[in-house]
Amino acid sequence: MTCTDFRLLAERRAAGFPLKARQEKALERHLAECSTCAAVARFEHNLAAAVREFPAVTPPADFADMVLAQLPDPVAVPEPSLREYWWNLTLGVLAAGAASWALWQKAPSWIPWLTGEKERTQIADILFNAYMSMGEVSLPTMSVVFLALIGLTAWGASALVAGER
Amino acid sequence: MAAGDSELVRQTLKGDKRAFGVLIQRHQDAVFALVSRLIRNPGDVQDVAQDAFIRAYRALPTFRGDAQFGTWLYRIVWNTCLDRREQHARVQEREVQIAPEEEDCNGIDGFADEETPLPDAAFEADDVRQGLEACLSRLPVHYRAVLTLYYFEQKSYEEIAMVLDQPMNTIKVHLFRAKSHLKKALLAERSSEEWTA
Ligand SMILES: [Zn+2]
Repeated sequence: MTCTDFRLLAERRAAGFPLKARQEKALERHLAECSTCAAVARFEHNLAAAVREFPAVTPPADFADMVLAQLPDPVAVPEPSLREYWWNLTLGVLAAGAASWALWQKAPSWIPWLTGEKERTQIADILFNAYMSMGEVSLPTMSVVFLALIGLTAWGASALVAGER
Repeated sequence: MAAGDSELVRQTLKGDKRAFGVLIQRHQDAVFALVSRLIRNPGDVQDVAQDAFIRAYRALPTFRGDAQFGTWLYRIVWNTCLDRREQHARVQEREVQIAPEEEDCNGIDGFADEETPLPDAAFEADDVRQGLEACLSRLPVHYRAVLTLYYFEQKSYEEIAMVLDQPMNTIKVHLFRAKSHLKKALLAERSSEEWTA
């Protein structure tokens, strides 16, 4: 070990970090032989004491209460209520129902920004084909699955939105 | 068994202000000690500490359990102190100026070789501590922060780097420079005493 290593040990010991018994012994041996490191160690000891004994203000007994009285109202994130979940789910199911019904009719004439008959038909075809390609199942069964999927998405989205607030 | 800091943070976030009260009681002594060493006017210490705890409460949702609450809190305390100092900018005029080359962060590995020489007798006397205290209070605030966090709060270099938001090497340099400056100041004081004696 070099003088630099011993000075680092002296610094750590002065700051109150525990040394291993072996390090402590080696340090003591070195300080007895090396007057420069011994002076550094004394300085470290005095510096640590000066920092510790530096005059400090102590908190008044009711400090915590004083702070608590000034805190803004709950920082807390309220848990979304069960009622909120059901409301969101109902809305989701209604929306899903409306979408399914529109697809079922294969005539999304309610899309207001599509005025041309041709575009309307194309959009409807794309949606209808996507819907039908989901499996070789009967249309009513597929509708129920589709409805459930949209409902679940709405449920997930509502939980996400509630979590973010 | 008493709840850990992270558990108290969780309870506070659920709306239980008393849990935050326990956190305050647990950390108030350390916070006052740190602020006392960074803010010159003792009359401002309580105000700054209070401000820091209120900021911490507001920032609580951003506290991640992977850091120690104390380290996270000290960072808020440090920033609160800096803001307060900016408001009272004139106090900084009383601090010693350290030349830019002394702030140089290079060559830290060889620092032991350029150690200020220490005459054996220079650090024997009891009044060394009083001299040190006086020199300490004139050090730039960053140096006082590093010395306090290391020698008083027993934070590692790494934790100090997190609190002060600086690279670990800068912390080592500041610790070394602070000590080097204190030694020079002490020796200067001593030789001027001998001169006048
Ligand atoms: Zn040595």
